[in-house]
Amino acid sequence: MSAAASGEPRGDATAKPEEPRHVRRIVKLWAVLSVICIAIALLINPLIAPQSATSVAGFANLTDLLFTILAIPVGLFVWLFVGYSVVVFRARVPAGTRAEELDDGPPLEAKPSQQIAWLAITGGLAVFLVGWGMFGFYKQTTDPPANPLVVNVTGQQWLWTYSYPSLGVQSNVLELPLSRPVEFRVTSDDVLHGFVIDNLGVAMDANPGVWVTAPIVTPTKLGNYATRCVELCGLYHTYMWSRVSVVSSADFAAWVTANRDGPNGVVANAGS
Amino acid sequence: MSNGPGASRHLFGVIVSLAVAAAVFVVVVLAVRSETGLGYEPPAAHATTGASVSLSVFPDSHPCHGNTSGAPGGGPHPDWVTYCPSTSIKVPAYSTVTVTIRQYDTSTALHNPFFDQVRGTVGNVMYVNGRPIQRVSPDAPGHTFTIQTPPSAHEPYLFVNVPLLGVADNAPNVVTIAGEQYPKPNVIVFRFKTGAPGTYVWHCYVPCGTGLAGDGVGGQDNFGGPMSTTGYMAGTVTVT
Repeated sequence: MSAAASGEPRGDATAKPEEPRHVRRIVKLWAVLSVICIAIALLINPLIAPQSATSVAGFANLTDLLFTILAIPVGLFVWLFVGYSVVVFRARVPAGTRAEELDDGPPLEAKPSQQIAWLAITGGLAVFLVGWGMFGFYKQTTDPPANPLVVNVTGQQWLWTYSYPSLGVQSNVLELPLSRPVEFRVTSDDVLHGFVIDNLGVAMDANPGVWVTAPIVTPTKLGNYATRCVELCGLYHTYMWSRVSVVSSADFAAWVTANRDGPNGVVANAGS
Repeated sequence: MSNGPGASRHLFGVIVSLAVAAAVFVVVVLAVRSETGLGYEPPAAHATTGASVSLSVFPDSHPCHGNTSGAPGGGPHPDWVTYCPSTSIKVPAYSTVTVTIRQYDTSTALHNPFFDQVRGTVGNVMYVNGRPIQRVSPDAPGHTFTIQTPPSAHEPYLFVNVPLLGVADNAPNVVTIAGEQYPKPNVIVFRFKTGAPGTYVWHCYVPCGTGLAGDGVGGQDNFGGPMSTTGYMAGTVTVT
């Protein structure tokens, strides 16, 4: 109740102004900012997400967007609550008073209903995201396509090399035919590397002495992409990349013919 | 919001904090941008008239890296295998560069047979003591000279791999350089074509270093030491 309404004289030093409804303020601010930030995320995501050239990469992009949209309100609420508290509830030191002479403010006492709601909402989101990921992994691994093109990938400081055992080809660039399922078998010759092709939705560790396979992917878009190493692996780690070209079946056959079996002729031995 | 000295101090603190943060950011950006090299490298070996480069590979660093007076002396790691006289190479753009490498070291088996083949040179061939060779046995190279394109320069895509045939293990030491004895080297010559200006990196892919680069799983060792140090078995090719 205001001082005027209660009939008390204006300027009474003991009269306290009506306390604003802080929670309502925060919720309103949170709702508005959440809508704005989600709209920004929806606008920016297509610009920064890698172009998906397989269904796996498309699902990865969708997952990235979904997780971002769900995380925005949660993160915003935490930051807004903290930021609002820092600004509005900060202690004001009267002139002539030292800060250490101030008393503590009243302790916060959360209502059980608020705690339950917070845990239920965030817990429900976490369970949903786990379910989403498991569903995606199930979709990628169930009923794999038959007769995939096997590509052996070897990471070595600081180059990826590719071997096509069924075709007798070795290369330092990755050439893939359109619409043909591909199975990557990845290893390392020295240290741990990370083999990633964002556009194909391929991401796997290259472990020394171990062959690792990933879900089979089928390139669906012609284009030039790139591999990269995502494990800090030494001096030229940032140079550890290679070209990936998804080409037509005819172009792939021509490339295989041009690169099959390597050169004929003399194989030199040490000291020869 | 209260007015008075407290508010002024608060505003002043915010401004100072922002200024300090901006200064730190600028310093970090300038420091990163100024770091154009990859670490220690001896002075560059320039391509001479006719775009030719001459290098040597030694099983140790005694003929290279200098000492405090600038004369050959092995540097801080005299037992490390090394390229000489430099690992920083400058060559002209849009040219055919002839590289001559004198290989004094014995062979070490490759872990990855991809590197046993000559790739990316003119004719996909190298000349070992005048003899054309396109492939060596996987246990025959002493080192490789492998140029690769950094991801920031997708065009032109330059990749050159030359397995440098090792000398025989029992070859007699008949050459004296900087007071050290070495066998007669294999003289390897190859040519490659450069495109637009840019900076590339090169590296040896034969496990000729020391110690473990990682955890040594599967016995994959000897990728450390000179294998991971510019100025020894890794460097840059600058096309100008």
